[in-house]
Amino acid sequence: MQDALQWTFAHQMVNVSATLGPAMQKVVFLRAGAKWENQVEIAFGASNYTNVQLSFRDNLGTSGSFLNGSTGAVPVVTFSGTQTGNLVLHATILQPGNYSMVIVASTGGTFSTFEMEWVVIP
Amino acid sequence: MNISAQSWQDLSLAQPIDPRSILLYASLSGAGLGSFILSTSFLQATWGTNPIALTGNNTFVSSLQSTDASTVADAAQWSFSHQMVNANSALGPAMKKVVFLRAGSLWQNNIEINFGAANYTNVQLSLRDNLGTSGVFFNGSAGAVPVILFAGTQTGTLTLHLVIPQPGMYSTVLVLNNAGTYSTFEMELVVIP
Repeated sequence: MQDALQWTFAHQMVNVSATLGPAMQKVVFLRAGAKWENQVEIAFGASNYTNVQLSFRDNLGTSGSFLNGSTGAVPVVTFSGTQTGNLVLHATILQPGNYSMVIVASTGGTFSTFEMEWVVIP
Repeated sequence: MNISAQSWQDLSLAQPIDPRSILLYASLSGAGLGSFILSTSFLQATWGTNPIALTGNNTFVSSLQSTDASTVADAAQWSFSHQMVNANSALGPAMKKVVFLRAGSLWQNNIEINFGAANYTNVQLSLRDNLGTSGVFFNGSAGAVPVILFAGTQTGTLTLHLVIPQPGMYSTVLVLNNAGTYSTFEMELVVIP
């Protein structure tokens, strides 16, 4: 527990300063390892989102897979129910690396994307 | 990321990357050849939303050895088999910044960008991660970042010309000013051999 506290103290994981260039606001520093749960608070705003799905961003550029179906399907982690307000994403990531991730979510039938660039360090 | 950092604290203390470390040449139609400067306007206190986008048209690789028909044909063949950008409205917005380019001093990558109807000045190209640094304070009181500056006023549909010697993935950004409001346009360059 102390290790996690000390790591968090020494590592600013996100930067939401209004002075930061918008292109950098998606960068999130995370800690690798089965023992560590990274918690990232995300503001979904006042809208109600359904069909919230987490996957690799690059999957958006694929056609998906068509096994047993007529539409392209993409492997995602889905979060069921309706999501609104400030929520915390909990992620445990085994391997260090840079991962371009995306949350795809629907509000009122309109889907949008929220990109995150995960910099996962040992 | 192109700057090696372990947290936002580290990034704020990191040295900005010189875009010349990845670029052999950069020009913008309308502005001509870009020039290297240490920019004190790359880091801003407030930002507007990005209004510009890749068009998906007129984006190709050309040979810089135009008197050699074989390299001209090689460039045409490479462009034929490599879709460099995807401006399809059906593509998830998070992927629209990805650009595939060809590495090598012989190849000029031409990328068409729609700046829209507004007039932009102080158009600067640099590594995106530099936005997270504090810049350098050499001979000045404001943090300066190494950029390629495209002089003059830019508007409408323009073509960015890049020559990149080394393959790799580079997160780059255009920072530009419209009537005092700065915005960013990110491009993720996937440079292949």
